[in-house]
Amino acid sequence: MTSSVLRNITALTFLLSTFLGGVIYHIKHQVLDLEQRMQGINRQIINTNETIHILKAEWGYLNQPKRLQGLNNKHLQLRSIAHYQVASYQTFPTLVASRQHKGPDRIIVARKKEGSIAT
Amino acid sequence: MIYGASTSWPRDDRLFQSLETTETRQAHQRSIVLLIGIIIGFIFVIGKITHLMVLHSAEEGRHAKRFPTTLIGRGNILDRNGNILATTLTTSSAYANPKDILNVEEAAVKLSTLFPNLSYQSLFEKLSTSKTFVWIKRNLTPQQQEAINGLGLPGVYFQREEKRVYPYDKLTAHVVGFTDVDNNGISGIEKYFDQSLRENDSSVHLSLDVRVQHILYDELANGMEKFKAIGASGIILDTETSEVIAMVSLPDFDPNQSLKPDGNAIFNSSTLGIYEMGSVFKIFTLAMALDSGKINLNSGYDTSKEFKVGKYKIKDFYAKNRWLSVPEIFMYSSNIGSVKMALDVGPEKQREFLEKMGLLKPMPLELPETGKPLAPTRWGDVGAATISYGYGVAISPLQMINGVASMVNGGILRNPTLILGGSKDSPEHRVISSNTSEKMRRLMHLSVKEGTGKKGDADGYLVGGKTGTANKTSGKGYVSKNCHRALFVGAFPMIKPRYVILIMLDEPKGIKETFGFSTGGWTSAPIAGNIIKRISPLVGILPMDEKSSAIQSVLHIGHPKIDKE
Repeated sequence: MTSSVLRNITALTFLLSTFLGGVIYHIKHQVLDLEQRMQGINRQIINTNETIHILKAEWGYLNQPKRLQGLNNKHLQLRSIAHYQVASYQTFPTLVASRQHKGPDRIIVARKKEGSIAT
Repeated sequence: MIYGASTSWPRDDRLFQSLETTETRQAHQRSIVLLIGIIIGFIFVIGKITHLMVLHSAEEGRHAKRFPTTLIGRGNILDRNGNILATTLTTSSAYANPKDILNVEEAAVKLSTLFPNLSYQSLFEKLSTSKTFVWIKRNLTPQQQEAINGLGLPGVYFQREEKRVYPYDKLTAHVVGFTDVDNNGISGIEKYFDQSLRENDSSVHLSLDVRVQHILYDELANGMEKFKAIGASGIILDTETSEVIAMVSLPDFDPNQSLKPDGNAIFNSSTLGIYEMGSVFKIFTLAMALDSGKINLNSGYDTSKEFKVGKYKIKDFYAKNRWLSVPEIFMYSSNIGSVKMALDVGPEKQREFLEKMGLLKPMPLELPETGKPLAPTRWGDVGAATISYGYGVAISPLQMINGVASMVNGGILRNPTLILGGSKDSPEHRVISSNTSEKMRRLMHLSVKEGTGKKGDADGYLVGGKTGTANKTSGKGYVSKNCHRALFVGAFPMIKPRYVILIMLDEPKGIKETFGFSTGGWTSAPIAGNIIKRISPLVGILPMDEKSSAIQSVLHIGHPKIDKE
């Protein structure tokens, strides 16, 4: 091995190590930067989670059935549904069809049953 | 300089040459070894970098996960729809280091104007002490914290604290329970699941439904006030899974108050209290008698005269003074008929039946507060007679209603549960035949349609039930007539019951509207009726035409009068 080759290798090694050193320095700083950002984001996540948590509890508090009932009594005066106000989808067409009057309801329901288009 | 470069000194070239070559060779060898070493080192470093950044870049995620994203300590307690019944909030508490306070007077004035319930005098005294730590106000709201910050007082600091919060206040107090200041569960679910709630992110899903719970609470509290009762309890149970949908015990307490509630309010009368159930127990007597095959629906008993068992005389409250058929005995709640029925079956079989029903031992439930039933040690004819109409055996209301669920659901008994979905490996066993269960459904419907339970009806929702009025014991004997518990147990819709309901009022008083009556049929039954009317549309139970032939064929039951002398 001649000394010139050796010198070249030494120079190459020196260059490579300088280059890698630079790269590693750069990466390290990037990593530090990212870690700092991550810590910040994690802190934000914690804060947001806590806020969501508090809001959920508050939502529960505001939705107390007792409170809603009080608000209803004060502003709406809605009453519970009576049994005669409830009908199922299945019984609906017969309910309408069984009405005494020959209003449009009956015709539409009857036609829909046959599958033709009402005109 | 002795050895100057210019000095001509005799040189032995040969020696010099040989020296040079060996040295150079050695240097060569050394540098090559070093070079190889460095190359290997670099290969290793490059390899490691490639390993970290290319091949295993996914590990970054694991690294990121090490950071907690929440700091909330104790797990939530949720209802079946995910509503939060108990949660932990982080709050701030303000404290002061009096040594850091520059102007005590100014600080005391500013703080006392901010919090009217903190007096200037007490603040001044607190802040002038020689301590280094005094609380100013604990568990501040965010607004209050901001306001204190705004004062800009040196020496006032904040500390993070955790506080258990129950957004629904009193609504589920007895089931959920509460914790002490250090967030240790001391009653209810909070105590039973204390360990698992401490472990992060482990919520407990209850089978309760806050909407149904509210309706039960609302009607029960109204009824309690209306009849001037001293206590009340109500339970709604799913007949197929034995999940508790709603459970209320009154009087109650607010778990958000840090004060320890008094014993009367904290007592869960639905699970911990054990009571003689009175006439509602006849459901079990009838089912037992029908299931034993000793009687059928066409049998009858003579209830025209008082019946003597040992030294006891058994009378009827709603006396008809004639022969009654089995359905009539149930709908008119005849004590004499029930006693005769039970004696036909026999004390031994009765005991076996109640044991099979699990009514003679504490019931398994996810609450620390469960009562141990009372039963007679000697179980003779007298015992069998009184037990047949609900005296002599004391059980908790939850045991009662869970037993009723098995009577109407086809005959399968399950353990009651407060957890959504129940425990999958919970045992279940048959206690009566499905045939008997069907008869019980018809009988209970009859009792509401034409018997003592009429006021418990909710038109269209096919209610079935049984009323009861149980005298209270005091010391050794039963106390005066107006001191009793009024009960109603029911199920709906009777063609395929989805829910069973129990209403119990403690010492209701008769009012003008009830003509002075305070029995189960006059007080508890209408409460149950109102509840059924309100919750049925909510839980998707469709009203049905009770008079239609399809419904009648499932629920009709004849109750012929028997003409015998």
